[in-house]
Amino acid sequence: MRYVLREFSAVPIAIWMLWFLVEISRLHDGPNGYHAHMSWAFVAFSLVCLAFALWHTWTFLGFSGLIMRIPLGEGFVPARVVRGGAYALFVLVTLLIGVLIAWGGTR
Amino acid sequence: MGRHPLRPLGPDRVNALLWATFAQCAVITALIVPAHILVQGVLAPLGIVPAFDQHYGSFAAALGNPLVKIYLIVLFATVFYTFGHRVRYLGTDLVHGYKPVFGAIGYGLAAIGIVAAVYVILTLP
Amino acid sequence: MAPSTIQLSVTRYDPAQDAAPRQQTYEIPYKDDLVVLDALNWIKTHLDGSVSYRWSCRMGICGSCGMNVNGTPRLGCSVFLRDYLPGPVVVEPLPNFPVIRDLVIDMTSFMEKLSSVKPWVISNGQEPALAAGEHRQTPAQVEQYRQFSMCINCMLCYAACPVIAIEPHFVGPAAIALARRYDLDSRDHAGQERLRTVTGSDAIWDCSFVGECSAVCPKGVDPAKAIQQTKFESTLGMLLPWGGVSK
Repeated sequence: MRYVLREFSAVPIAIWMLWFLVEISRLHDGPNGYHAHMSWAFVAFSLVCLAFALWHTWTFLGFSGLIMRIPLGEGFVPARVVRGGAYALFVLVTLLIGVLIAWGGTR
Repeated sequence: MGRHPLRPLGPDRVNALLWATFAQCAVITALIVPAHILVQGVLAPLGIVPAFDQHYGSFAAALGNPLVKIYLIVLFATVFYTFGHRVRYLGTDLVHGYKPVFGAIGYGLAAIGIVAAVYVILTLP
Repeated sequence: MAPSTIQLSVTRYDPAQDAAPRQQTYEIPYKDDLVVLDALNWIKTHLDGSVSYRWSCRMGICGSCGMNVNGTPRLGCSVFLRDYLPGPVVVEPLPNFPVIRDLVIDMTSFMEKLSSVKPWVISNGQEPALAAGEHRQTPAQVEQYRQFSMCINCMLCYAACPVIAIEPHFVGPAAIALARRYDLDSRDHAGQERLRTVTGSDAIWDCSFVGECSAVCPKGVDPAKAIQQTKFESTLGMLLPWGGVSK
C-alpha cells in the first residue's frame, strides 16, 4: 500500500502541474481574459495535491540516505546525516522558491 | 527458470539512462513542486501571501523573463517525466504485466506533456 | 485463556495424484511456545506422515523452512502459533515457485539465478603468498558488506517480490544483494564481471522498489537497499567517466 501511494503521488502532482500549464496558457487571453483561481474548491484540490507532493518528497528524499554512500575517512557518512541534509535542502529550497513566487514578481 | 537465455548481459544502458533521468527528475520534483503548490495553490488564493500568478501584469512580466521560461520548462519536464516513469512501473505491477504497453503510455503521456509545456511557454505573447 | 487446540490448514499437493493443490485442515494441541514448524512436525508424527516440507536447524539459520503463513512468506521455525490465534493458521508453499509436493518448492530457478552472480570471492591472482599471513580486513571494511552477508538463501524475498510473479526471469533480491556483498568485499576483484549480470536485462532495472523483499527478510539483509545502491552506483559508473564508488 505504501508503495502504491508512493508511486501514485506522481499523478496528482502531474495533474496540478497541468492546471498550472493551463493557467500559463491563459496569458494568451490578455489582461481582460486572464484570471487566477481563487475558489475554495481549488484550494481543497491544491491541499490534496500538496499532501501527495509532500509524501513524494518525504519518501524520495528519505531514500537518499539509503542509496547514496558518501565516503568519509574509512567509512561513509551515516545514512541519517545524508537524509537530514536532503530534508534541510528541501526546507531551504522551499523557502527560496516560495519567497520568489510570492514576492519576486513585479506588478 | 533462471536468467532468460536470450536476454543480453549488461550493462543495459537504456534502462540505466531511463532510471537515472527518473532519479534526477524525482529529486527536482521533490524539492521544488511543494513550494509552488503551497504558495500558488493554497496561501495565495486564501490571501495569506501574494503570488506572481495572481495578476496578469506580474505573471506576464515573470513569464517574459527567459530564465523563468527555462526554469518552468525544466520543472514541467521533470514532473511529467517522473509521472511517465512511475506510470510504467506502477501500471505493470498493478496489472501484473504489459510492461511495454505501460511504458508506451507513461513515456508517451510524458512526452506529450513536455511538448505542450514547451509550446505554451515559448509561444507566449 | 489459551485454547487447548488450534487448527492448521495446510496445502496438500501430490502431482502424481492431484489435479490441483488443496487445503487440508488438521487440529493439534496448542501451547504458547509452539511455532508453525513444531505444528507441522506434530501433524507428521501423530496425524499424517505424508505431509511434506523442508526443515533443518529449527533456529532461523539454515533457511530451509520458508513457507507462506497466512499469506506472508515466513520461516516456519520463527513464527509462533500464538500470533495467529484463534486460527486457523493457513500454511502454503512459497509463491512464485513451482511446487514439487505439499510445501516443498522447486528451487532450481533460484539456484541458477544465485550462481549467475558468482557469489564467492574472486581473486585477481595478486594476493600475497600464504607465508605472508592471512588476508586482513579492518572492521570498517567488513562493515561495508556485513549486512548483505547475512543472507541465508531462504527465498522469502523471492516469494514476496511482485516483480518475480510478473517476470519470472528477474534475477531477484537475494542474488543481487549477494552480488553486492561480494562487490563490496575488499578481497574480491570481480565487480565488473558481476555487474554484467546485475545490470543486464532481468536484473536491477526490473525492480520497482516495492520493498516487500526487505519487509519479509528474516535476517535484516535489506535486499531492496542493495538493489537501489547498485542502480545508483552502476549508473554513475556507466554515465560518468569518473563515476562509481570505490570500496
